[in-house]
Amino acid sequence: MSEPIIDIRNLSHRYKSHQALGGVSFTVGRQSIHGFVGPNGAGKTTTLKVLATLLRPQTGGSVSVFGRDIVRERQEVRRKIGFMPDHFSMYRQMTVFEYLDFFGAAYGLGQAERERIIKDVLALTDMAGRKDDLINGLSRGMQQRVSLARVLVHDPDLLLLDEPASGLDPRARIELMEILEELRRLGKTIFISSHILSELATLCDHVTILDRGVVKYTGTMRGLMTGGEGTLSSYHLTLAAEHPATADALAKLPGVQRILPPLPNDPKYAITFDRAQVSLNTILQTALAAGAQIVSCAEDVKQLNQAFMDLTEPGVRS
Amino acid sequence: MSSPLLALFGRSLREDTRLKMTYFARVGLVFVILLFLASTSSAFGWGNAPGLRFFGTVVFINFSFILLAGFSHFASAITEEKEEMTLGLLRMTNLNALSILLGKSTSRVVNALLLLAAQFPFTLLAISLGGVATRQVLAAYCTLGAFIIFVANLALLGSVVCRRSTGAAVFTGVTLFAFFAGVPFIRWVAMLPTYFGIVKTPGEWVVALNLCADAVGVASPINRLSQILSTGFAEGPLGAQVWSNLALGTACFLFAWALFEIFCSEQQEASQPRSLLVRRTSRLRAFGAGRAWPAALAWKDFHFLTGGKVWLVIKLSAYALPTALFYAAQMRWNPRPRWNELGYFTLSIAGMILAIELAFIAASVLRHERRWKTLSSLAMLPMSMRRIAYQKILGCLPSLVPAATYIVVGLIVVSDEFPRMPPPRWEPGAVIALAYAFTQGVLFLHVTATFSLYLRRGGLPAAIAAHFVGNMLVGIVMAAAREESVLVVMTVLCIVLTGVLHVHIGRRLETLAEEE
Repeated sequence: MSEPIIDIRNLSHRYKSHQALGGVSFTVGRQSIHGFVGPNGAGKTTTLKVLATLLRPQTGGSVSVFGRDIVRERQEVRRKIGFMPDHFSMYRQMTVFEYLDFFGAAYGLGQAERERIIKDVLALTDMAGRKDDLINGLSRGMQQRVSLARVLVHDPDLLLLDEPASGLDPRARIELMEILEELRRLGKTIFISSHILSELATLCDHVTILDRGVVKYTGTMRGLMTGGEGTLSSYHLTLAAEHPATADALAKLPGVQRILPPLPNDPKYAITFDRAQVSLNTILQTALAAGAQIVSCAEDVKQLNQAFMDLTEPGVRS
Repeated sequence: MSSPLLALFGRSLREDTRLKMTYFARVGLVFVILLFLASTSSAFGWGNAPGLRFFGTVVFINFSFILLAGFSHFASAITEEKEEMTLGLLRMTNLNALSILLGKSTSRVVNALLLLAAQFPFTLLAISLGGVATRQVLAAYCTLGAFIIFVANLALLGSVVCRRSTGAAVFTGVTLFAFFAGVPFIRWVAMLPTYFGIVKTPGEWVVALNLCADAVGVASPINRLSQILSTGFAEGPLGAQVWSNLALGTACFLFAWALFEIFCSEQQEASQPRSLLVRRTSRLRAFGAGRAWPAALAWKDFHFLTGGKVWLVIKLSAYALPTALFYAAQMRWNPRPRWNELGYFTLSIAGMILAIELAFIAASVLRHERRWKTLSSLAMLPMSMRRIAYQKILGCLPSLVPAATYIVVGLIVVSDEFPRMPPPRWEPGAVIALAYAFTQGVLFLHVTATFSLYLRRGGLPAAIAAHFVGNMLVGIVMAAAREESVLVVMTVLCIVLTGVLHVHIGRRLETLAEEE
């Protein structure tokens, strides 16, 4: 992983009698899009609020952002991060320009600089044509874009986004993801919490799964899906039924998990290998040497939602 | 299965019965009454009709609290559902307009009447203290009960018609003022030509206006209470005021019911009003918000909370109106205007407006951010929460310029009297009294701001009530001690309390930002 931008070590937080976070540790690398997933009540928003310096850890742990402690160097951290909460908190009686101009001024930017940055962020979020519209009259998707533009107005290096796509229609969600991809290309680090796992799977390069205040997985997205970092995955080979000797040859290879014989209505052998024990190269060479007719060969990659279900516990979170 | 008509009403009553707060409120009110008893005793001793004095205070306090409840608790009956956008959900059930009105408002009336009933046995103490008879106590409570029903239903009407609780409170206040003060004032103005002999016999419309004003006088609880509290009151408890207030209350309820479908049929999103601020694309953009100032929060609150330049101009014109009317009246009776009187009048009116504006600013400046859940965005700014709050207050100060201008004008007008006045004697007592009054004002603003961060609505009326009760306690201590040193202690206490609240407001803002 590249140089960590966020470094959370053994973070704990308690709300009265409820332990929201119990020793959370993970890091987020520079210029990555890091997904943060977990069931409701897992502690995602609490972690984000701690990172955003809104909440001080009550019971322990250390959190640093850009190498600065978020408790001791709060103001410095705030200048480098942009936080978009999971609720719409906007001054809706303002126009889009007034809203962004206000936050630009609040961050201490000069008038000319604000003018330039607002122009850029409005172009990036595709809102340039609506800058004199009242926020109140904008659709939810557009308000979300303005909210994102507000987060960008002081040019932070790290974006903390809490459920940015919730309540958006499919088109608005896809467009939002495209903007985030563009922001990564511009050098931003994005830490995003979301429940829309399919979109996180395509967008994020790293992911942390949290359940009941405990990290269940943290690492690369590919690692989670291919099982390279502790979870299981396999190869599926399908052979034509005319060459039974091939199946016998393959059955002798290590890591064979399952061999399904041909059926009258499906005359094929289906063989599954544990990819941790045998390479795909060996499987294919053995099959071809035995004169097999390969119908299909696939790497059984887990989907994020499957990994999520495997790693998190069922039941209602209290 | 219970009737859907009374379902919400029954549920509200059951909920109130289960709430500890209901009982705390009743015990609290009884405590306040006992406080008055102690206050009366310490201020006047037990001679000279203490029962009547004690009872008079209780009645006055009840009357004030009913007015405060009218502007807050009763006026938010329906608007709170509109603001929370839950009225649509209520309407999707079996509940019709009548059941919603009964459930949301009548249950509050019942609770208010129960609060009156809870204190009734304790006020009977007034009879044993002397100076007041059972008949007077009964009549006063009937008057207050009827007035509650009138005010609650008037506020309900406002709550149905208006979109926001503030609008409903203003509707209630303006209607009550127009009803009890406006009509007699118009009658007085209409009778002026007759008084001055310009017209020999009053016209038909003046006679009609007279009849109206008489009817309003009969319906006025203030008139009725003054009669009841005067010696020799011998009427029954149910006077014309009771019946007229009940009739007015019923009429308001029926009117609210009739208008419910018109004003509450569509669920409208609660939005922050832009007031009269023009956009930068308008030709009148000079009156718009323009570009943000370096003190961005001050810019925001000046333009988007207090109304900006347009409202400065409006207020500057509107606040001149009372002085102009006073001047016109003076000119009518005396061609040589007495400038000093005009100056003092302007000074007092402007001072009163300034105090009211300050109270409203204290109640809204922080509540606004809480209500629209914008505190977390502000808390992320690279500045402390205290600095954020100070910048916001700074932004509200220019809105006081019109009132302050008239104070300065008033001072200039009366300034020629200053050389003729005896030099002020800065006796310690006077200085301490001034300091106490000033610290009281500052403390009140802090109490109001604190309440606005805890209560969803009605922070200002609650602060007025709390400050009033607090001052009652102080009054008892002062009357008991009757020493200057006590005033010094109270002033110091005020300063300490203000300091504590000042720090607490900052912490509370941080907590609210965390919780958003």
